[in-house]
Amino acid sequence: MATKSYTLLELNEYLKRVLALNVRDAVWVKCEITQANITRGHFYLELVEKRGEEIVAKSKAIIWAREAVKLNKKLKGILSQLLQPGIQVMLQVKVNFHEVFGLKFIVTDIDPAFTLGELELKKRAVVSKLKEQGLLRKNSMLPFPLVPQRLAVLSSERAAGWHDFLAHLQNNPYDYVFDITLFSASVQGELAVKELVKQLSQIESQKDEFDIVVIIRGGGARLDLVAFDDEHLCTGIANSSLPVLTGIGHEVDETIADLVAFRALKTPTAVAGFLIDMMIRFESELNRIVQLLQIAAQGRLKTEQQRLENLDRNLKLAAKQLVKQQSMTLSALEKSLHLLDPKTILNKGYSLTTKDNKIITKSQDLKSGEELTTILKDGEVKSIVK
Amino acid sequence: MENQPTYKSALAELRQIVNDLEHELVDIDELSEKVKRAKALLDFCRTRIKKSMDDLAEEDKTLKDF
Repeated sequence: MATKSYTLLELNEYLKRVLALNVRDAVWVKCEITQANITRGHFYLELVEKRGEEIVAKSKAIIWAREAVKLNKKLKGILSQLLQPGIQVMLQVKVNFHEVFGLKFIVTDIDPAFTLGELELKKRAVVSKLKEQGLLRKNSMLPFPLVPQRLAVLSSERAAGWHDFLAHLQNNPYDYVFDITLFSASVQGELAVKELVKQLSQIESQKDEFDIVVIIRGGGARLDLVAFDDEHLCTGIANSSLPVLTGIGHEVDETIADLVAFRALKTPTAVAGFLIDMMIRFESELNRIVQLLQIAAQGRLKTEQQRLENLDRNLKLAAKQLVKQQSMTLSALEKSLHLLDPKTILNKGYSLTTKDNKIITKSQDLKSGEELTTILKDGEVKSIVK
Repeated sequence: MENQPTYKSALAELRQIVNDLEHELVDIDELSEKVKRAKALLDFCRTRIKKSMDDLAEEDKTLKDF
């Protein structure tokens, strides 16, 4: 019995017809991207569906370059960020079977809201994990330096935010000097997480050379920031020995990196402003201390001056007093001397009896017939004892 | 001023002299010598204070320039 057979072309043409008849319209499909390559503007994607870690479905899809331009415009320029490995997407596809190239999905539309929702769920899971590990507030508990001058900056040298930051710091009107070292890393795209983590750990190994870490970027679409929600990077920020400041976006974006950082500022320029403000505050405090010092020193000198004036006055008083006291003592002595002077006594009518130039005070010292000399106020009288 | 005393030692000596005078511990023979010494100490202390004030004013100017 001759078996009915087809040529390969006949079979493929048949399959093409079956598919074309049965899956005529474009359909929406929910899947995960595992590979995305761009060649000459065409996006070649590998799509999978997983149950746990097991792949239960796998297909290839393509976005033609012309379609890609339209979609990119619709998605405000984030098409290539949206189509990253590991991201869940909702794609509108037309099922196409080609006799030579086989089965392929032709992508005709993308639902960005779905992808963003998926990312948000993933983000929440990371936040609760970091919270459980006590990492959310860890960096913010570090002491912040009074004068953060030595900055390790984690950014891309091509990022507009980096240049804004640099210009703002270097042209500050107070002439404060910052020592800025750039640790360059991609801040978006496939390599971003890997490079950011690597550079952050490089900074950690040189931690003694810096006061703080600054992570800056420069806004952009929500999906551009996906690297800053990465668990590995955010764990690194939380565990950094140096306080980390972020200036990642300039819209309403808040990434997990912002949550775990010491402090999140809206833009790179805001980070620069914050640092300059710290310097101003420090300088004002210094000026205040200098003023207090001057007031204290002047006060001390005034006190000393007063003390000297008092001593000068006391010295004069004491010297005068001393002289006066001594004069009084002398006068008293003089008076006593005067009272004791024999002449004073003679003047009062008393007389002095002597014998052989010796004063006689007792009658028994005299014998009859001896000659006495009596001294009176105005002269001497000789007489004989009977 | 011999031996370049410090402000502190000059002040202490000055106080001692005034105290001795106040408590009549000084002989008249020594009095004029003591007063002369006290005046010299006073001058020394005043010069020190004046210099400190001038230095402070100068420092103030430097800090303002800074």
